Amino acid sequence: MQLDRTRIAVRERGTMELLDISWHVLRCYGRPLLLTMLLGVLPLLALNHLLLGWLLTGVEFRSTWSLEEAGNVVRYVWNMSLLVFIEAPLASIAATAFLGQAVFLEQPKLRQLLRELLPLAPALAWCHLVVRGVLPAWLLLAMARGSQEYTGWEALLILLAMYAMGLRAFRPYINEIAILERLPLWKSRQAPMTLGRRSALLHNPSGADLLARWLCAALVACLLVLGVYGVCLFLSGVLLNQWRPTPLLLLLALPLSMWFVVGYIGVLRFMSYLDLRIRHEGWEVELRLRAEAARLASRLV
Amino acid sequence: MQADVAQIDTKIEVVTPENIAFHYQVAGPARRAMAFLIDLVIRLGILFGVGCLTAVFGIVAGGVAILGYLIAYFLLDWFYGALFETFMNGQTPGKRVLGIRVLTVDGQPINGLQAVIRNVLRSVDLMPVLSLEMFGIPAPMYIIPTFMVGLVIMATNRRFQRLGDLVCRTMVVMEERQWLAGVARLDDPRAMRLADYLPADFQITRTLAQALAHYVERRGYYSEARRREVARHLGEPLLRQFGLPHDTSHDLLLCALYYRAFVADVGDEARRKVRQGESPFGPPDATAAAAAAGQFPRTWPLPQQQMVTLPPAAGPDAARIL
Repeated sequence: MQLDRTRIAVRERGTMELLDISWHVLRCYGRPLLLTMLLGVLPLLALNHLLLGWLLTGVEFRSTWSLEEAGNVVRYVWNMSLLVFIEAPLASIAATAFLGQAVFLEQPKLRQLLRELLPLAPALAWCHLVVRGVLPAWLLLAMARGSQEYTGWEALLILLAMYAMGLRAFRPYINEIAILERLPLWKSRQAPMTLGRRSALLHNPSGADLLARWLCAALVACLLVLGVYGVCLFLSGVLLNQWRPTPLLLLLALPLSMWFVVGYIGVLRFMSYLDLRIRHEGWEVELRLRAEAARLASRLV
Repeated sequence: MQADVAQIDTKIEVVTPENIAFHYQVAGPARRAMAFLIDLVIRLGILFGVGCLTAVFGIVAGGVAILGYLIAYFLLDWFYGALFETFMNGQTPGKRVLGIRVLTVDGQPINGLQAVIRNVLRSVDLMPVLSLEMFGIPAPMYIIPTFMVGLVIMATNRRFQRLGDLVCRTMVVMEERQWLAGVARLDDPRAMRLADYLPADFQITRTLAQALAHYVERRGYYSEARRREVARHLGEPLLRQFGLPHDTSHDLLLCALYYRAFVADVGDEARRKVRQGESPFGPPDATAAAAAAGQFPRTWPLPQQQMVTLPPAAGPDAARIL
């Protein structure tokens, strides 16, 4: 591994360029990224269906809906959007681990990737399931399951999503720090730097920048979800002559559209993390110097 | 898990028939979407103006005024981009604001036919178009473009070409606005003195010189602690190789090596300029005189204003060196 010969060019980039290059990364690593994303997405897709799919059981898909049916559809779409938003970083864990190795031209096997992620599972579970509110979100929706009216549990889900939004806007790179920098949760003699401390050191100096980037990414994500779901709707109309939402569209195409965009945003987040490290820590300079040191050592040998 | 071999970047190389390579940064969907939005606002503004004029003249001319409005709408919708790109050398007002330009894939300016075809084909790129009725709003008009065809095509090729670009063999690139950085100024004389202690037979390779230049250009942006941390990686093995005291500042050592590579071996004139804070790549004296006479801006652009300055001697490391 030569540290200054990276597969993805390591240099400072603006927000627009980051949005653009993420498409390049998706194109070049399409298959491995799809596989690693599916690892995270498939269990969540099934779980979300268990938690929310029941809302559509009584709905008959005809040209006009009753007020109650329309209410259930809106409730399903709204809760699904909040849930996917909260779960998004959890789903992109394996993809982030893959990208971290792919930068240095490594081609990790899926099994090897999982083996490397296993020791990090407690830290990741703590960060995502507890701190970032995924587990509480599941519990809230489980409590609301079966209720024919909008419940207080679902209202609490909105508050939880707002809390997650705040964390994600100001502490977006927790996945990258936990997976790529491999820092422990708790301080020890061998590892004085903890995950939380490192997160604060990396994120705090650039809060405004991070917020601006997050807002930009959120806007792009919303537009992309609408676009991708719109394509599904269009294809359903053209191929099946179904121009209104059908069970297939709502139960499958809608979550899949959201998860597709989560994949893109995961790549964007990884690229933004590299950019932040370049801007604030001179990561690219460090890589070059370390590569030179390795060359110097080999010359001396 | 297979992947391509070329480095993933938004920069591409165009080689002319004369075997000269140009590097362009291609503009992707995000930047181009912003330019499109600006152009859309301008078009809507013009249409609003034409609409007001139609309303005024409609009192006198009736149907003719409406015909005029429809013609204006048609021309704006289909030829706004083509006209601007033809007569503004590949730019529309939106593209100019965003600093992007349409070129052929060989790096040449586009011609009128290419401008027309690539703009006409935008109507395919904005497909599929959705109706408000699909979202439960009773208005059966297909007016919501998703741009998904364009996005998918752009995302699947290296130059971010949409369908119109692929057909016309064009691409959209960023305009170059980079300043070439001169040699960084070294204010601290210790670096220059330390350079004299470096072995004369040490060969500075091309990659080492690049790494040193990169470090010295950027080190001013880092904290003292981070600077020590970064410099340590190369500083430690170099100290061992040169047989210098182990407590020599790694940062100063890299600066000294930089001085050796870029200044000391270049000549007296370059050395004088670096000591005085001038770039060896600065303008000739005649240009400087013209600037002094007020014919040019007196301040130099970015690189000179952001010259790297070494901190004054401080701490045990500095004391050891001196």
